[in-house]
Amino acid sequence: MIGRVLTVVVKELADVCRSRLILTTLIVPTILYIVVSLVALSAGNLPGVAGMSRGELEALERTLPRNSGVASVEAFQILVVDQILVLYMLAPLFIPLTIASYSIIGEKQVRTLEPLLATPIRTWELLAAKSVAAIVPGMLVGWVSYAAFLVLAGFIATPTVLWHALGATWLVSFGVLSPLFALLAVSMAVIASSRTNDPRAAQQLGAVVILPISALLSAQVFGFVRLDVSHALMLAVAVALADVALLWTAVRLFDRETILTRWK
Amino acid sequence: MIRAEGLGKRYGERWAVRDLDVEVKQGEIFGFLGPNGAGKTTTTRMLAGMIAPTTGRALIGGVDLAEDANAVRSRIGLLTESPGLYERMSAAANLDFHARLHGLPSQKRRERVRACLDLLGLGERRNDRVAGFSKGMKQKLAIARAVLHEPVAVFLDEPTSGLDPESARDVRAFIRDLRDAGRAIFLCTHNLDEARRLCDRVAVFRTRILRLGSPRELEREVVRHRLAVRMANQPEPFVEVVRALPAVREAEVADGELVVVLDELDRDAPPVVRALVEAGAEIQRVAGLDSALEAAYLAILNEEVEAETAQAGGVRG
Repeated sequence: MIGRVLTVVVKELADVCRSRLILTTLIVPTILYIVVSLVALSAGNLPGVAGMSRGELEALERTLPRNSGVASVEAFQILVVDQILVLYMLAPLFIPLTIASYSIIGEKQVRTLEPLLATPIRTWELLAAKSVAAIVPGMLVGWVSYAAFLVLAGFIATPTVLWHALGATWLVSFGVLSPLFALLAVSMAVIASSRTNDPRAAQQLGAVVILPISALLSAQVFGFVRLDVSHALMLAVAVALADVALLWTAVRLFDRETILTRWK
Repeated sequence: MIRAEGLGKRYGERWAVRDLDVEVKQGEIFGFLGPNGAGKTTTTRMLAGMIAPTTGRALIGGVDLAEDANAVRSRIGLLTESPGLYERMSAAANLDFHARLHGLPSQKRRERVRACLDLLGLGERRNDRVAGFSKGMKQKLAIARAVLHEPVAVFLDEPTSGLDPESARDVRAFIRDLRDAGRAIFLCTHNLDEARRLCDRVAVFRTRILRLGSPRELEREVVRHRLAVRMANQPEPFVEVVRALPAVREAEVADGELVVVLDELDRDAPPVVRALVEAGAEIQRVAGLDSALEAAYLAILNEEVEAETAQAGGVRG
């Protein structure tokens, strides 16, 4: 059972590795994220920023109460770190969406779906495998970016800023929330991929899930929502339940007959 | 091994397959002949547990499709119309992927992948990407994939379509080997010559089975054979000679040859040739003019069209 899921996951990931186009779309954004992040963080060392007025500093503290008491440069860098890390968390949502949108449609287009469906693979096994395989590349981009950023930021930022980036909330967000959010988006794209024969439509439907997630993450960055570890864990449980529900729905909606007989 | 009882499939108001009763035994090649759109692929998909029938039931190796389609899929091998291979993977990787999905243990998997590739002459190309394969090699690989897990029943959709004669011969030999190994083989084909050479029984099918029997039975039942005799002398004087023979239904001269219509070629041709030689004909060549099974197939389909036309006329009248 798990063996079949693993088989499809390994095969899909090998496909990703064989595709120069997909590899490029994974590697280039990762490098860009890191470079842009470090440039943005360096801006916190500029004299103009260090010399923020009292009023500006107070305004920053009102927006981000957790930063009260730290130096103005550090406060700015923490603000930048929060925005950067949100960007890193969004990467695992957008990249898998493209892969997942083609998951079923792609097999149908190259006519490999029928032989695949003629094997004893169960629908949930196929969809779970396609979802996991779509998530892994995006997660790697997010995690590698995060790790590289932490290492390189050590040369620019103060320990206070680094400890903030390594805080429990961010670790939980990257380690638990991010994969669960990605699974949510990907499951939606897989459902769309198995209900339409147009990958663009599948991608757009999958993107619907990303909007509220992006809004939540942005709200957290700008201080409208306070997401501490306990909140992040509770959110993770809720998203995990939503993931299971969505996978169940995907299995129910996956109509082998329509896919085989109506799609051309 | 493969059994269908009253199997039917309806899409909206249209029946794609209706009242299919058929049984394919272990070690039998069953030919499923029919024109495009006759419902052959729908039938195959139903029997392979990929789409649900509207009526009736099917059993593969004793397992009812309605009860456990997954178990059925593990007992069958399917060659689809298009090979459907992963082009960027090697031949061995394609087979290994499917072997894993069928749950073959690792040692057995390696053995079967190697054996199947060798049997179909692809052993030396096992590590090459499928994208570089010819159409014939892809088709052979797809056949290897269908039998990799040693299924009890094998469904083959146009297995020699588009192959060169040598590859087609290899594939036919492989299909015979499968039969000899005790598999039940369900062969969808347009190639009537192939059906005649390979199949133990054939069904002429259009939405339902129109006729079922061995190729010989269908030929005997439905068609008369045409024998063309080329001779050095003028053929016209020999028309009456052959018409006098009891086995001859018709005789005429066409394109400088004497064309004789017989009930059965193998049985009736020798006395015709003997009579012609005794009458002084200098025979240069004797040949059957067409595939008898093809003629039978066309005759059966024509009968069906005529029956439908008559029925429609009756309803209107």
